[in-house]
Amino acid sequence: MVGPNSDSRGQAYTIESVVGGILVLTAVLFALQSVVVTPTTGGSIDAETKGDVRQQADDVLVTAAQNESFDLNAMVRYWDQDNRTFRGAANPEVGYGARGPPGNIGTLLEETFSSRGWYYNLELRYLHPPNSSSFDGETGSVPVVYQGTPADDAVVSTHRVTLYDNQTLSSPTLSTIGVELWELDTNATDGEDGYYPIPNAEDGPVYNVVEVRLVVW
Amino acid sequence: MVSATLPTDDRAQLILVGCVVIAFIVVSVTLVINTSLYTQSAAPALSNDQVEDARAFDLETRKGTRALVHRINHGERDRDASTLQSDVGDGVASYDGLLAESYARSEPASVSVTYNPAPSQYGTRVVQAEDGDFEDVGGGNLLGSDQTVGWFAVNVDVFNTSDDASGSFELTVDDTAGETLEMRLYQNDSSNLTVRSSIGPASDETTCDPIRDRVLVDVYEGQVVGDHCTNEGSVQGIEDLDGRTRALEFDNRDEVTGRFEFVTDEADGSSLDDCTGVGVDPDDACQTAAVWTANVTTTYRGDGVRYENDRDVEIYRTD
Repeated sequence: MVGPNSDSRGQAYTIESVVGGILVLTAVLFALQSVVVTPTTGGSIDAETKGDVRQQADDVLVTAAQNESFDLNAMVRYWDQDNRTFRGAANPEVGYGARGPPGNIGTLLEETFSSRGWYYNLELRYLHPPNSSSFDGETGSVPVVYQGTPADDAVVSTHRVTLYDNQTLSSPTLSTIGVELWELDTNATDGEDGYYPIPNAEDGPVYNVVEVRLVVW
Repeated sequence: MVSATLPTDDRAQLILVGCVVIAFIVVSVTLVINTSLYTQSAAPALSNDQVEDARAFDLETRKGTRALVHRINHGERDRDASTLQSDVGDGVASYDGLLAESYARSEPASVSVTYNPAPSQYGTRVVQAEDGDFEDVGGGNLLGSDQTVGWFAVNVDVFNTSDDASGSFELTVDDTAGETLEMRLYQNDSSNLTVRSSIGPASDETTCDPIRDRVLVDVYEGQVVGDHCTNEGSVQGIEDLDGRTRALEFDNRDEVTGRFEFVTDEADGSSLDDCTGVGVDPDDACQTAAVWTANVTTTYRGDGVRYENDRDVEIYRTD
């Protein structure tokens, strides 16, 4: 004879089995989703590729810095005062843009990155003199090449260039031939034509230490 | 009436407990594997990047220190050795401050560069700072024994330089390997400067238009800087000699007008007057101090890397 509780026991068994199944399935689902959460994911570049790209970016900057005819130091001084950007650049916002900078560094960037589908931004970051109105604890920056907003997994490489008071612009006009850096107008808002954005950061033979920043994605 | 115990009561509860245990084990194993994978992926990348940054810093400071001290060496003429030491110390301190600020603003690293005057090596800079002929240096070997030249430049006033090719100004450099560099400078028929240079059978010639009446001759590298230079301005120079320099002579010293300076690796290495001496005019050739090798201490401190190096930075090349 079947007791009056057999119906509820059956339902209890069913519920327990369903709950047990849900628990196991949830655990398995969690495990499958969790395995992919590592530093190598979350973007389109794996760690090994990022390492390779960073090494290539480092090598490009080091090689460009050692070029005898047009090194990074010359590129930093390759300024067009009248157009307020680098000589031959498209405009102050994008610099050389998709075309890339001139000289050896432009060739290296084209062959290493652009020709293989990578985008890059090249930017100069310089120091403000401590007594200037721009000294707010931040560095100033000016774009050499701007090709867009970098992806979250972009690779950054930097190289520093030292400018000296007695250097001149590497792209002088008639009015700036022989004019040393410390003599240039570096005030963009004084209403006078033409200026060089990087200021004389300190008294002494060193004019400024400029960080050349290459971002690749 | 028979009542039967249904054993499935306990089995059902066991199944539920078993499911809970399995779920717990799966989650725990997943967490452990995931943590292990994350740590394995992250750790080497961080420390490798910092090591590369330290190497890049070392390379940058070596180059920067060399360029800075070179500029200070050639910035002034009337300065004694202790003043030069002080100027170099101040210059490197300024460079150190800017470098430290630049690194601090862009990456988690503390850097420093310090000049150590005591272990640094000093040489002699012979300089004629204003235009004139080169008679002051006199004839004969301008170098003492065991002196080597690491830098030599002539800034020629082309218009006032002789156009006599056969009797032109000539400088001769002998080296320890028995080779001789012979370099002649003269104005040609078109009022340009011609530079002829030879080492044994190998010879080069270049002709350059002056820029504001001047042509710069880098005698060490064999490079002439002017306008529209033939042969890309390249000629035989001191660096093309196989051995170290041991003798330097000027001939037909009154056939050229301009300025010159060269640096040797020995302090007080010239018989010329000291540039700080009384009665020494700017167009007189004289000797002054120069830093030949700068001893610097570079330090890089990052999150996972600490790097400190005492290094002798050669300001001039001798190979």
